[in-house]
This record gives sequence, C-alpha cells and structure tokens, in this order.
Amino acid sequence: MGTVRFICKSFRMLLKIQFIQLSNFYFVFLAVCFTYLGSYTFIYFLMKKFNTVLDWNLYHVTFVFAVYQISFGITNLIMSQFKYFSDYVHRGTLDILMIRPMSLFLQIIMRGCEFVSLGNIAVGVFLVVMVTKPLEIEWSAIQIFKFMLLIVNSSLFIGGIYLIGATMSIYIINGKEVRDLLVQTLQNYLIYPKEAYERWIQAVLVFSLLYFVTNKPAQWFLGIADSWNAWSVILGLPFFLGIYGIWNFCLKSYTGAGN
Amino acid sequence: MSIVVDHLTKIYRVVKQKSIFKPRFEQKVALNNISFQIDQGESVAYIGPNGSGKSTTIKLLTGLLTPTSGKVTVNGLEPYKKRKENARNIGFVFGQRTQLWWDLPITESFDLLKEIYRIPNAVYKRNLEMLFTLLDLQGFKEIPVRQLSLGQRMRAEVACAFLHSPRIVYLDEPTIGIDIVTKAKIRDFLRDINKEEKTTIILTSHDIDDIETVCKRLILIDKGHIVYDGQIVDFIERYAVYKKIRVAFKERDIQPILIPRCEVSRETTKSNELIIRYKKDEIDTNELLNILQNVGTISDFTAHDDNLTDLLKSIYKEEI
Amino acid sequence: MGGITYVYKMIRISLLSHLALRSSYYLGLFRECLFLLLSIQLFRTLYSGTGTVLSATLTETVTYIIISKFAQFFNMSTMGRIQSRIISGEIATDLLRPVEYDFFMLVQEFGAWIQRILSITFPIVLLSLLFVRFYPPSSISYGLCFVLSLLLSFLIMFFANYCVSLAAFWIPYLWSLNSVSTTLFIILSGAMIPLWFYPDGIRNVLEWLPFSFAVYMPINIYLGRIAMAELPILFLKQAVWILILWLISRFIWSKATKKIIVNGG
Repeated sequence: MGTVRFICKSFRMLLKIQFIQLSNFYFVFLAVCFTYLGSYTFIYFLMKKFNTVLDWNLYHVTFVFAVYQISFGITNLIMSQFKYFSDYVHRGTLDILMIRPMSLFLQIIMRGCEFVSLGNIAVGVFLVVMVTKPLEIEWSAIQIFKFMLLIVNSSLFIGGIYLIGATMSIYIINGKEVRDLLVQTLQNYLIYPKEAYERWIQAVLVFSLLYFVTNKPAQWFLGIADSWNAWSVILGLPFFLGIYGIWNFCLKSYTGAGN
Repeated sequence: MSIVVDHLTKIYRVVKQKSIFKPRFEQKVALNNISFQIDQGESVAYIGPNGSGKSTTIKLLTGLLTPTSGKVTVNGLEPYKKRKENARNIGFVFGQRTQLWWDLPITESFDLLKEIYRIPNAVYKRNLEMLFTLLDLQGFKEIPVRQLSLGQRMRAEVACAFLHSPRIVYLDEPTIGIDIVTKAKIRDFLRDINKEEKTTIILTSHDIDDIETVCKRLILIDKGHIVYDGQIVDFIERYAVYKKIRVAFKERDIQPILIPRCEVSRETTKSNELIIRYKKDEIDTNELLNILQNVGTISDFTAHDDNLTDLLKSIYKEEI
Repeated sequence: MGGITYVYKMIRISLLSHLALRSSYYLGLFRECLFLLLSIQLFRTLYSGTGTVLSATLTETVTYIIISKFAQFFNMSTMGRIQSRIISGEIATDLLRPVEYDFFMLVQEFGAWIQRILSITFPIVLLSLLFVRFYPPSSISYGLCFVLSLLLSFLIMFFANYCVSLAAFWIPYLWSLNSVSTTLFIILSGAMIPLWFYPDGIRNVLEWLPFSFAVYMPINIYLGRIAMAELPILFLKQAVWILILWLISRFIWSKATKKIIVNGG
C-alpha cells in the first residue's frame, strides 16, 4: 500500500513540477511533434514515389512507424530517467537510493517523467487515425484489445532496450549511444518488411529480436503476417524481465565488489 | 540492538592499466581485519585521515558493499544481504549528496519519505513537529530545495535522516562548508536526540568541534586498521602528553629560538607571540620560563594541554 | 568521503572518458556504416519493385547517399558553444569584436568539418568502394566543381546555423530551437534522401531556398546531372545566399547587441 501511495504522490509532484514550466513544456511538446513528423516526411515521400516495398504500401509502413512512435512515447514517458543512469552511478545518487527500503527500479522511475513524450504518442495516434480507412481497420472491442497488446508489447521491448543502455552505463560510458543506435534502427529501418534487406541482415534482425519489437507484431495485427502469428506479441514481457534480471545482477556485482 | 563488526576485511581491485584486452588489476586493502562493537544509544566519532577506510566501513555498514572476509551484523541483520530491511532502521546524511528532491520544497520531500519508510501517521506528525522546532525549518519550508542556502539544506537533510525514528543514523561530513550558527544547531540537535531517543549516532567529520560536542566515543582508523577505540576523554588523557604554552612579548618582532626538546613556532598573525610545545614530563616549566625571559619581556602567558585537535593533527601527520 | 578514493574515482572517470571518446568514435562509425548498408539495401528493394521510370537510377541514388556524407553540416558544435555563452551571459564580452567573432567561429567550425570528413566520411567512402557499386565524379572538372560547391555549401549552412544559434537570445528553449531547425534543414536540403524523390511542386519551391544548395545541388554537380554551362550561375546563386545569410546574421547580431546593452546582459 505504501508503495502505491508513493507512486501516486511522486506522480502528482512530477506533474506539479511540469506545470510550473508550462510554456517550456508546450514548446518542447511542439518541437517533438515537429521533429518526428519531420522524420515521417521522408517515409511519406519515398512511399509516394515508389508505391510499394515488396507487398507493403505507404499505409502499412506508416502504421508500423505510428505504432513505434506510440510505444516509444509510452516507454520514454515512464523510463526516461534510465537514459541518465550513467549520472546516477557516477555521481553517487545510486548509493542514496539503495539505502532506502524501496525498490531501486521504482525510485528511479518516479524521479522523472518526460511528459513531452506525449508528442510522440500524439504523432503516432494521428498517423494511426490517418491510415485506419485505407487499411480498413475496424475498431471493434477485440481489435482494440489486440492493439493494446501490440503497444504494451512494443513498450516493454523498448523498455528492455533502455535497461540495456543503463546496464552498459555501469561499465562503459557509451550505454546511451548503444541505446540510441538501437532505437533509431527500429525507427528508420525496421518499419519495412524484413525481406527488403539481404538474408544475413534479416537473420541478425530476427535473432537480435529487434524484428519482434514492432515489425512482426504489427503484421500480426494487420493480418499480413505469414507465420508465427500470435505469439510474436508476447515476447516483450520475457525480454523485459530478462534484461531487468541482468541489470539487477550487474548492479549487485558492481556495488558489492566496490568500484 | 547493536552493530557488530567482526574481523572485517575489504579488498578492492583497482584498475592499474587501462586496456580493453588485458586490464591489469591491483589489490588495494581498504580494511584490514577490523573489529568493533557499537551498542544502541552510543554516539561514536568514526574518524581518520583521507583514504583510511572510513567511507568503506560506512558502505559496508549500510549494505552498499560486501565484505571480502569477516562479518558485519547490524541489529541482527547482515546489511548487504538484507539491504532493504536494514534500510528501514537507519538514517543517513551524506554531506556531498542530497536526499532531497531538488525542485520541490522540503515538505514534499518529507511527504515522499513518509511513504518510502512507511511511517505511521501519528509518528510522522510528531517527528515532523519535533524536527521543525529543533532544526528551525519553519522559515523556508515552502521554498524549492534548489534555492536554499547550504545551511538550510543541511538542516533539512538531517531532518530527513531522523524522520522515521531510525535506531541508527550515519552522518558523513554533515557540517562541511556550513556557517557556525547552523553547525551549532545541528550539533545540539544530534546530541539531544541521542540523549532523548537513544538513537545510535555514527559521525564522520573533519570538524573536531562536531566530534567533541556530539560524541562520547572515538574510533580512529588509519590505513585500514583501527588505531584507537575508546572514550574521547580517555583518549585525550592518554595521548595528551604534550603541553602547549603561548607566550606574548612586549617586543614587536620576536624570532623563534631553538629550545632543546621543544617545538617552537611563532604565531602567524602576531609577530610578538611564540608557541612552544613539549612533552610534559621532559621539560621543567620554570627552566623554560627562565629561557624565555632572556628572549624578551613577557607580557602574557597561557598554557594548556594538547586538545583533541592537536592530538589528531599529530597522529595524522605521522601517517601522512 | 575519503579523499584518495575520490581521487581514484576521478582518475578512473577521466580514463574512461578518453576511452569513451575512442569507443564513441568507433560506435559512430559503425552506426554510419550500418545505416548506409540498410539504406542501400532498402533502395535496391524499392527500385526493383517499381515499374515506373524515375528521375534517377539506383546507382545514382546510392552514390547520392554515400557522397552526402561529405555534407555533414548539421549538429555543428560551435553553435552549442555560442548558445551556452548566450545563456550564461558571457557573450557580452564577445560583443566588443563582432566581426572577428563570427570569423573565429567559422574557422573553428571549418576545422571541425574537415576533421569529420577525414575521420568519418573517408572511411565510409573507402569501405563503400570495396562493397558497393557507385559512381565516381562524372568528370574531373565536375569533380572540382563539386569541391568548390561543397565549400560554398559549408558557408551557407554555417551562416544558417549561426542565425539559428543567435536566436537563443530570444528563444531560450535551446533543445526545441535546435531540434526544429535541424530537422527543417535536413528536410529542406535533401540530406536524408535526394530531392528528386520529393513531389515536384515541393522540389520546385525548395530550389529557391538556400538549403537545397547545401546538399542537393553539389551532389547533382558530382553526378553530372547539371550542364556545365549552368554551373557558374549556380555558384553565383550560392554566393548570393551566403551573402544574404551573412547579412541576416549581422542584423540579428546588432539587434542582440542592443538587447544586451538595454538589459545589461
């Protein structure tokens, strides 16, 4: 119960802090929308010119992009503090958080929410709405449930990627850049069918599980997946839990042994 | 309820040569087989020169590190094994790092800590009132922490440490860089709460006045070994073999003279004062006065035994 | 907390920083190569799937993408420095010598650009030579014109970025300002994908803006898609844009000066 109250109070305070700088929030929110819609324009122009990538058209690609934006927005909203994990480790804040009788993971999350990620979510939702008609998506209760599953799965995967970056930050300084690399690859290249790339790249994408972050599950939702349908949506949770375990373990061995 | 440190050793692996392929490590012994016991309600100064192993010990006691060998038990728990459980009963102030939420006023930080430590409402209200009064927090309670002065912030940090009525509180350099008035407030608070609530206090500080006001017991650590463990008064009595006298002369500019078996120096700010330090049983004070009368006309004269500051200075100097 | 432990930590962190710079470099290089590889494969698939005739061949597109790595004009480091000096107020001391200031920044940024070309562009181009089929400059003279054009592009983008960074005097929301302007520049200049993929109407408009002269035009010269006779006029247009942007930056600078003098920094 105390944990729940802690979460509620922390969240209320984060909102309070954000409200103090409301104009800053609006500016950044708009900038986020603009920036990511800007990324989308390249996809739009290309698909308008070429019409199809294998058997995907503009709307399929847009849908995958949009789903990714929404999931990324949600993950970044919640787990944004993990982007700065390197600071936590090297400035000693970690020590203070660890000598408290509350989960470290939870404490880090509640130290900051990047509300401007709502911009990503807004862009994603906007694009999903735009492609609903062309893709003939019917928003029945089941479809909505499947969509939620889709989003939650992707968000968990991306959360795992954030934790990978955080874990690497413990040992090297580049955790952030590794995370950026993975996130940008997903955003720019994994929105097309994997067959667009050569076989060996496809193998890498599949084995690294990047393919299952958004691409495959989105196919499942749209009904264009050819194989391994439903279970592709549930990989997010075990992935996240696995990385969480690794993060925990690395943290224990790092602090336990002494730096 | 106590702290038991039993043959505790901690060895670090320090990277000697930075290389991705073959990094070479070096062993650094931070703590070498130390043992001590602290009972509930004691106020202990845990001091030593830089690099002596102080912070390592604190980290082991709070569960942030695991021992290389030996055992630490705090209230029956091994802190590194049951870190969160142990955390419920301890409070801490780490001088350089803050526990407070930077963008919020202190009242919000306290409110959040209430949930983190699961403090019952009645206890919370009572403690809050007490802390507000004793540490004088009322005046700035609505201001965001980022805008507070260091003195205000430190008082709030100390309040955080005691908010949940912990059995043990660790304070690491709590008064560094703080004005005298605030220092006094914090010292008095620590001393009083130790007396009233029987909270165990473990204080690390380079400020001798902190130690003398708050603590009764002294554990001195150097290069991973415990050099002294006992009451402060006993420490002074045992090691204060030196006496220090301060002689002021009428003449303006006095040159320090050489006196056998004595340390003679001139007061830096007053060119007509000499400070002489010597072992009590080696020198006869009368003889000394005779020698000094040959130097000039004595206008003032004070004498006292080495105090804690002097003692510690000489001990530190020997090691470094 | 323990002086020597602190010193150990600081040494470790600075060692790690140096190592991080190197590994940062390798990671960045890896990233560029990966994205290049994926882009090329993507275009291959796109081209193979379409029956329509496009204004450029696959090889031309691939060449464009590789050669565009020379035009690394975005995320200029000096801009960040200028902006932090504006926010902190230190820029006031630089007011005494406005002319020398932007020249000084120009030289620094030029050096940084050359360094980027040497450390990132060349390795990528060399690697591409081994694995990818792409065009060399259409002819020696086109190649030289390409280099000239690239230098002019640098100046255009420098002053464009400079104007944006000066905007920090009025818009303290640095992240938003920089993110929006960088995105805009990248879209308008054709740095991500060639402008010939843009809808015709938009491309026509963009050819009137300075940004297309920064990336799209130089690479078109490289590919020999522009008649030799037209080149002098294009160079002139580039030069005019440099002048315009430089004047705008002087104008903003004088406005900023007034602001500082009125407000006292």
